[in-house]
Amino acid sequence: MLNVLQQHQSEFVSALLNHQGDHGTFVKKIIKTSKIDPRIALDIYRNNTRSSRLKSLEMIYPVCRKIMGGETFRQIGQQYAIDDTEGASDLNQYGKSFKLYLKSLLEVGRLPEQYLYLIDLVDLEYKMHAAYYANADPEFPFKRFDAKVKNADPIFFKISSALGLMVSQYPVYEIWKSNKEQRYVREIEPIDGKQYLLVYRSDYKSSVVAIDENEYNVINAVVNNLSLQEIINNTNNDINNIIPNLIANKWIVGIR
Amino acid sequence: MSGQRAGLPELCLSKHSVGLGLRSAHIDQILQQRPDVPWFEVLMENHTARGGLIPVQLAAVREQYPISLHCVGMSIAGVDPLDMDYLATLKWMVEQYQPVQVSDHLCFTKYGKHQFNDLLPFPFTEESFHHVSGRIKQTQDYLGIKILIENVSSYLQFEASEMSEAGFLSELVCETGCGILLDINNAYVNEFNHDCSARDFIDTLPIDSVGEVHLAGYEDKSDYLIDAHNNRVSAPVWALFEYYLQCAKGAPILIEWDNDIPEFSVLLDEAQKAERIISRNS
Repeated sequence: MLNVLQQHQSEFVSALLNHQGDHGTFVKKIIKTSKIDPRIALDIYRNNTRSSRLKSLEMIYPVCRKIMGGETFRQIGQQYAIDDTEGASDLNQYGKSFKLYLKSLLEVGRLPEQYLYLIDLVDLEYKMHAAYYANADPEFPFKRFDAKVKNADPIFFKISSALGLMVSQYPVYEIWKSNKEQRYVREIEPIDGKQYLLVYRSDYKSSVVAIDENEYNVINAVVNNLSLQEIINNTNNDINNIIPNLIANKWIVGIR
Repeated sequence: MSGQRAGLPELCLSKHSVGLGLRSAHIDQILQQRPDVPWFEVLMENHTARGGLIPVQLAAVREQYPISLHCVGMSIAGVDPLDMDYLATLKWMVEQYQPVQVSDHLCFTKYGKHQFNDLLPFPFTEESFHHVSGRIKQTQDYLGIKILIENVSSYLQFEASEMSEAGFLSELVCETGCGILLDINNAYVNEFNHDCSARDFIDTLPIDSVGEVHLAGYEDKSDYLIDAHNNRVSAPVWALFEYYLQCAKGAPILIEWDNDIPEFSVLLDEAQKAERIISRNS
């Protein structure tokens, strides 16, 4: 049993997470002769964690930050870092739920409705970030694929670990691109129909491309573990063109 | 545990060689210009990717330079079970990149589901000593290498502590065979913040077990210092470094700069300053 160590860590963590309390029990455990008031010490530790997390958010969501403005983004990002008590040991994996956080702010009116499209934009930015850090993919196993076709075995494809798929009612691709190119898009209106986007990695760089609905449906079916036969049965798509194209682009990278 | 463990290449760094922290902003420049730097320290958590540009760049750097792997996430003093996924990633990196050293901090960073991106102190008690030494042994056995444990900057100290941080580290060396990463900036920050003697801290350590030394810049908040790693090494830290050199045995030195990263030339300038101080004291 780790009585003292367990108790100290439990109370320390509780004091770090609870910003409002007086933390009397924990403060009693701290040496009084130190130059730093215990409450300031707790703030230093809180701030260190918050700053690291905010730095990650700024790295992952540069376009969102540019659109919101640095100060607004900093305030929202810091509050997100406080509210997200779990965090992540690897800060490259941090911030995935930022999209849901923005959504919750929009729902309660803490962000103006004109920012509704930001939810999709941060989704795109996170997918770009995740693609950069994704594992390497294997080469497509053509021989194994041929053997499965020959034996009439069910075929389940594997997509690239860098691939991100999304659909939006807003022109998020154009917004993202414009801001990357320093051209600001200020008035954002929903578009007619939907925009289908695919994020991938090529030559070590994350990229995004607009795809058509047919391609989206096929890739989405692969993501949802449908077999090739089920994809053929369930869609009206031109599989003979789409699948070879997905393999050639290294978006489908294997079979299970 | 005693003796040299298998798994790491034989230390090929010359006496007191001054290395630099590898930062992504400088990697292209390093690979193109191949500056005369004896080694680079790599922050493990920034390089765990197994695809894309990061492993390609790190492998290219490793081809040209020795590297050490510095970790912040072992949570060696944590009360949760050791994170074996984390250690598996570290083991993969050790096998992949063959670092000359692997290190982490004397602290905890995780409690239950909560991850903290900071180095949190704990009381130095007999109980925590047995706990931490057990985890270091377990980690070293799993990785098949000796690790270095670094002293941390702290902003509070515990009434429950039964020994000093230096005493705790010294006992860990005896018990586990681990080495020490002596962070001179951290020792100075603690001296300022807690009115203790950084020289006594250094004197208490088994100096032969110091396998690496860190020099960094702090942030002065007038009442206290923050271990910020965001500026040049300050005068009192250089002075403490000179004090260390009087008894030092030649451990490699690192200029550590993690925030507000400057031009690479600034890091080289700091390294040259360290080299001048080493020459003056040799």
